[in-house]
Amino acid sequence: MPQTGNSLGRSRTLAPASAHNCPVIKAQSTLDTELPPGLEELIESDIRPDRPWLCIVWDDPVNLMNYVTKVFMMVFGYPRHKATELMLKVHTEGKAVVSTGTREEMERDVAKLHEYGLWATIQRDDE
Amino acid sequence: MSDREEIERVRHTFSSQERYVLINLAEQILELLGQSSISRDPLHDIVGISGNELPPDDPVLKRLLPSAYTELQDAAEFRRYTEDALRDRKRAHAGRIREMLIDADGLFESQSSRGSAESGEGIDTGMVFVHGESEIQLSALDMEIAGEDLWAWLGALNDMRLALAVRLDIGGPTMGDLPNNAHRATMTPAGDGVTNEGLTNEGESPNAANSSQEAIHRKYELMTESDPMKAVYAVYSWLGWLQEDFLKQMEKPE
Repeated sequence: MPQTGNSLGRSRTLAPASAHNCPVIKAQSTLDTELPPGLEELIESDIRPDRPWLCIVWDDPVNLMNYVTKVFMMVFGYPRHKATELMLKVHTEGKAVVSTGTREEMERDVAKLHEYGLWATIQRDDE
Repeated sequence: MSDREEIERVRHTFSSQERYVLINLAEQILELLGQSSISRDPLHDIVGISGNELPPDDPVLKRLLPSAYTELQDAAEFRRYTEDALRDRKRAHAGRIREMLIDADGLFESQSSRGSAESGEGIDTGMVFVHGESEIQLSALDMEIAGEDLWAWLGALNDMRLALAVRLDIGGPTMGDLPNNAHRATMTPAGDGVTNEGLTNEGESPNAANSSQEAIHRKYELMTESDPMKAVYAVYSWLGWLQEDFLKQMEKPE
């Protein structure tokens, strides 16, 4: 079932990188009104991480569609339906943002995608 | 985690000829990726920096080792620090295929005592493969591939297809690395003659891809048998079929 296309690639729900956010969100809900100075800003910055970099996969006539889907599942931990959606976006639009994050995170993602023969690049999020 | 589990185990019976072709291709990939693009600085070797800043001249290497940035300076910097590692990982994949296909008969030096106990089944008459100084008798082989090995296989099969596609002049990033011409490329819907289940229900109709794939297919179908590129295309098609077969086996039935 197709989902809202614009939100694709904005969240990495199953990616390990997002796991560190969970305790912070949880902590906020259990805290009472008194917060130590500065903590509120810290929580805020942790919930809305700075994600100015994008990992983009470009269409390639050689790579099999099923293979591209499978690589997205393996590299990012995406469920099959999300990986399939991203693959179709690459296929129909020529490219797709497959993950977002820090520059270092994107460089790790691209290295992995290159290892498995996908054509991926990194760029700054211009929005 | 609501999705069905994925299977990380496949089976395939390789004929002696298929083993021969795969070992051969794996060795070509190993050799190609082992070649340095430029003269090396020994200091760079010590600290694991390739020193390469420009994409490789060889079009196949360029395809296997693409640039990570469209901006040249960033691409050069990234390549300088990562190209060696990428070469090593791809070589590890190809090396694993080669090892599994040769080692299966116990013909690797380390396990020569195993002899040919597993071979000789079926009607495959076998093929002789020249391995260094010695000749290896390859027979048909029923193989189970799982876990990390499976990903080494998928990655290496894809590298082989990318390499052959360059020789066959099938699409792809021909201008080095700047993906400006990406719009004219389209992914292959499936291996030749293999239906692509699971995609039709998305309402997508990759007609453009089909027609361009068909055009390529026709081009090589019409070639005379003596044309060496026809044989190369046959191998390319078969590799796609094999990769697709593995991927289908990895999907749990609904």
